Amino acid sequence: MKYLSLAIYLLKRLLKMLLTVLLVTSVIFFLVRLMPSNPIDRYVEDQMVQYGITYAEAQNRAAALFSMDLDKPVFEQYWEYIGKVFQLDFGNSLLSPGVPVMDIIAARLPWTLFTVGIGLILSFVVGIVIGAVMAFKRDRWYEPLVTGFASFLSAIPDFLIAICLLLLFGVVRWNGENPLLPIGMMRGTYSMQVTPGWNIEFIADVLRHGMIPILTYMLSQVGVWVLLMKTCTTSCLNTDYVTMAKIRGLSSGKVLFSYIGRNALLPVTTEFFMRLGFIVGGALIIEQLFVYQGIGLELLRATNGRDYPMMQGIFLMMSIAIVLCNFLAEVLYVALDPRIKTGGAGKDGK
Amino acid sequence: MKEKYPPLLQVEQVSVCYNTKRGALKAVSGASFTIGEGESVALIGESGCGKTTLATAIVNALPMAASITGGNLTYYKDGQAVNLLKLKKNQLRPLLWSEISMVFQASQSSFNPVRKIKTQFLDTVRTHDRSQSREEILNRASGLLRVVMLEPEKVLNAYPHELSGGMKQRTLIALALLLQPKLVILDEPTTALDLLTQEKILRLLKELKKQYGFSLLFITHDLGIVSELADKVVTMYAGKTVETAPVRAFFQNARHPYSIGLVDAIPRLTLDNRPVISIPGTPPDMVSEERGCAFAPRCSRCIPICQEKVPHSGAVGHMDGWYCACWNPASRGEHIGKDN
Ligand SMILES: Nc1ncnc2c1ncn2[C@@H]1O[C@H](COP(=O)(O)OP(=O)(O)OP(=O)(O)O)[C@@H](O)[C@H]1O
Ligand SMILES: [Mg+2]
Repeated sequence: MKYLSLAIYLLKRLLKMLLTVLLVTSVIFFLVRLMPSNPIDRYVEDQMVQYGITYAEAQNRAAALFSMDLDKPVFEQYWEYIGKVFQLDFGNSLLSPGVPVMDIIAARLPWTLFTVGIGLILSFVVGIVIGAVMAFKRDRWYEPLVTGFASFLSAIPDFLIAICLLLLFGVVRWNGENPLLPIGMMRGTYSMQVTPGWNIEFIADVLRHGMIPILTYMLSQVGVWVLLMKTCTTSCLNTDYVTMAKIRGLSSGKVLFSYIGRNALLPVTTEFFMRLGFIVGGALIIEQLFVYQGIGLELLRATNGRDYPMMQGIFLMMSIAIVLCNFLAEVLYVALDPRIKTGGAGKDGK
Repeated sequence: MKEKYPPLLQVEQVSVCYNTKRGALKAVSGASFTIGEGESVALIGESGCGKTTLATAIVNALPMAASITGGNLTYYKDGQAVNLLKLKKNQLRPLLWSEISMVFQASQSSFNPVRKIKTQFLDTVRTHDRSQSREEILNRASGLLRVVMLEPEKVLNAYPHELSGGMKQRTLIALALLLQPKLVILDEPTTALDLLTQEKILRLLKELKKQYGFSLLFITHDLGIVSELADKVVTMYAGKTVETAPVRAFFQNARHPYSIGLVDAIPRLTLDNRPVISIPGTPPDMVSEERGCAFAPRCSRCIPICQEKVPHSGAVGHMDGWYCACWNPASRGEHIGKDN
């Protein structure tokens, strides 16, 4: 009985998520077409500017290139698209003719997941440790400094942090010599001369290229975790059950992990999973700034060229990731906090 | 009459200050009394007079804003005197709960909300004694829960939020007795309960006390409970212990005008038609600097010296363990004291 109700609950949730994704996909479909200009005009303009050819010539090239019929009624296009999506066919990119959208996403996404994901995890770990420590040391002189710096970090936009890092590591000549890092050589995801694969050289090169973006993501988010964790821990510290645990003679370690940490982490963990969904979207500005070939840069390129299928594909990915992670966060919250019962799974089972 | 009980905990001149925005708030100043082995002591006084603060100081659980500014807490562990205030944290920890346990006033949230009651019982025992098996511990817990009239299987497997307020309170009392402590501190143990349950808990406490022989320090506003349960009554006013009296003496012949006020404020169902008299005025602000007796502005027996000098606690009456801090204590019916 219990498993049946759980299965029904999961099925319901899955359907709901599917519906959400479908809705988002549909809205995106029309929104991208509502943007001024269209792929062909964009391509023609581009060709004319870049190669100095005439309008007619550019138009000819475009006609040869674009297989998509953009003059068909929009709703016809829409049904066609949705039909294909259900067969997991997301179409081909317009800017790279003949290449399936999913192939491009598959090539770009790992880089974004790598940098943004590691940045998020690092900021999370560092943030909750500092946040928890600050909650315990909240009567020390340095606590306002650390908390203040954390608010500062979480308040300034990430591209400013990126620029500061660029200046600090790549431009300023400390003691008159070369800058700390050869920033010019660190564009992109890896250097041309290394061969991709599981070799030390490649991995080291990837890390070197990803270092500054990761640091940017970390710094731009760490403040939020510090503040959140500090608030949660402080509120747990003052609860009766923590005082009671101390009076019961429990060791500080036990009190720290089982009583304070366990309760303080509840809201923080949920927040972490909510944010996890957003890493697929990458960071447009940061990837552009570092010319890092992740999904964000691809989205930017697709938007500039009005590459409809590409944009739709990326947004679809993003919405699936966000919906899934929200679901995960919810499940986790129910699992971690016995006080919360899901509408379906908890009570009907009896 | 000799002192019946050998001392277990001596509270001597204990003072506690809270750092507040307005300055140091002297929540407890120079409180003194003794709890004997097997004795039950009632701590009474108006709301805000520092009862909880004093009790919390005994188990070293004061909030960060509070600091103990003086005094001694002498605990007699197997006949050896230790000052609880001088102990290091890791020396004090083994004493807590296995020697002194406490149930809070706001016991509604005394359990970790994300752990089952069972786990919290197990945790408590294992911290103090690693040798006991899970079954042993749970058996004893079940026994105690049955004693406080709860269903052990249901309670042990429940999360705290699944218990009612009264159930939580009783579970806590069971938890407090789990390690068979020498001293149990109960801060308003029955305020969350209906009259029937209150009555049951009281009977229960009496029985448990007989059975286990622990000492009891309990805080209450209900003088009915005091008369049923206490051997000794400590009256607090504005952070000071103004009178310590054996329970009969307290009800028949209290000396401090404040104690008399408290006794007179109980409505009685007896035939003597003494009117219920409340004490005029409100307790003083404990931040401002004191001069004279804190109760003087509300006192009907106030004489000039009361405004000038703080009265010291001194022995009164014909019984041992009867102290009063008053310049002009009541002498009403001094002869009654003799028939004890
Ligand atoms: N955390 C705190 N910070 C500052 N002042 C406090 C704090 N806790 C208590 N106080 C003050 O200390 C005084 C004594 O409080 P306490 O809780 O000991 O009173 P009480 O006698 O237990 O009252 P009640 O009968 O209402 O429980 C009060 O004046 C209160 O305002
Ligand atoms: Mg209190």
